[in-house]
Amino acid sequence: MFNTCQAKDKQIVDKALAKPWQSTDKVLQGLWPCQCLLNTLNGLCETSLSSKLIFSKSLFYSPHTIIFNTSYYILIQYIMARLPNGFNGGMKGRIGNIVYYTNKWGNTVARTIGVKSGSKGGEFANQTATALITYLLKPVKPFIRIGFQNTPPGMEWNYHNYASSVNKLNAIKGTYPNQEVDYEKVMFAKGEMPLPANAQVALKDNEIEFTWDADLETAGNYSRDQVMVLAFFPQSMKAMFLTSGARRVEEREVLTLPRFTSSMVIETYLAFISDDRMLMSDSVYTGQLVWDKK
Amino acid sequence: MRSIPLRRSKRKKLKALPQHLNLGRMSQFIRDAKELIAIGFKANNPKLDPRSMAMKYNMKNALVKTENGPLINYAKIKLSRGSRERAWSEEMIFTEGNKVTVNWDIPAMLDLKLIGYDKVYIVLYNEINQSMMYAKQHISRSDLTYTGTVSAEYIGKPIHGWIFFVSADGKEVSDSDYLGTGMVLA
Repeated sequence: MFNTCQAKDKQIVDKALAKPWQSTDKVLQGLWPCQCLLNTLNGLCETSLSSKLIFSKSLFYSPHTIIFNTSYYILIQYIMARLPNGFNGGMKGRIGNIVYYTNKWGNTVARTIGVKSGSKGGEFANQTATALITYLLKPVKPFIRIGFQNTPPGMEWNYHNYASSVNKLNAIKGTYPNQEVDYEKVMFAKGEMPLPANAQVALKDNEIEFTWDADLETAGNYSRDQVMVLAFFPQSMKAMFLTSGARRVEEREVLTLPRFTSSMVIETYLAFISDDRMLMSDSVYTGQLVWDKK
Repeated sequence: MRSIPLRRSKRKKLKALPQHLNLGRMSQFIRDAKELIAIGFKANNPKLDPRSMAMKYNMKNALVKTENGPLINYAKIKLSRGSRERAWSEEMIFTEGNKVTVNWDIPAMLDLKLIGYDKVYIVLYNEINQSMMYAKQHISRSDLTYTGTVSAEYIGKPIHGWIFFVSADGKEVSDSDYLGTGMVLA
């Protein structure tokens, strides 16, 4: 990007590299351009200027400009990003259409921001799918925080990103504008433990009874595993759940419903979590129930 | 300190009129619910004030654009948004003597110790008079019911109701739930 840093005109450089900037002596030592720029920008960062780095053939003197007398004159006008840890550290902010930030894992991320010219056909379908999944996951956040805690290696996602991705790919049916959630394919937990065996659900008065087979012969199933049960109400987008239910060997868990005043559709799901809360199984869809008593 | 812009000399463009109507209609409703919006949307976004957040959400979700102008879909109105536990089995019943009874439930699996002291906000809106009222006395979630008296001027007029909860320390709010509509009985 920069040619050799040859400070032919010492007067120009002296004027430009005035205090509090780096002294011209270092510039004249014949440093490599990248290192020269490095040191100079380090000096810039300490004072947290706002200037913008561009190429220009014009000569401009001010306390906020640095000029390298090469075939091009580099004129610093506005740098919108900041380098809090110097040029070797991460950047934070925006330069042009690139924004820099540090994510929670300590990685500096850079991505472009463009001018949005309006959504097109396929984008509407994507936006609708995203909205459906977002509304689906909102009432079950405490559940999926546990159910999707184990992100596969190589993916730096949090539980919500992981749950959204899995369900957006699998649990949306229909085409735009008639997309809807396919509750049979929704997953509220994902893991490596074996799937629950023979999971059933029944509605008894004001209670939802979940039953399953302990299946302790299967490798990965242990008697002290706990069941996680969830009842989702699509009409009101509410959910009831237990994240630490009965032990696997008990083979039965009950969710007590509130007193409903009108007919209510209930989608039910079941999963298992290990005693140390580190491993879990995929959630399984145990069926739809209709509550219609007062 | 800032200067106020000069009065607009250009005529409003025909294309912008529908948006002005939409904004005006929703803005009028939000203005009526000012006090409650300040409670229900305050913790949502530090960059936007509660009124802007409420306008943004309700313009997108609760405004129906018809040939006769914008109409508000009261069932989709949100007076609060948050992560606190929402109402279960909520219902609103109008009884004689200008009385309104609101019931709600707490499922057995929820921890009463955590949410039992939540403050309940029951909001009634008179669509004809465009006036909003809410019970100002302290109601706890653990009460499970509330009966109040409304003014005689609301007799025979359609009333919409909403309910939402605020934690005892005021830091968390629930999404508001629509109670339905009914007529006040004399």
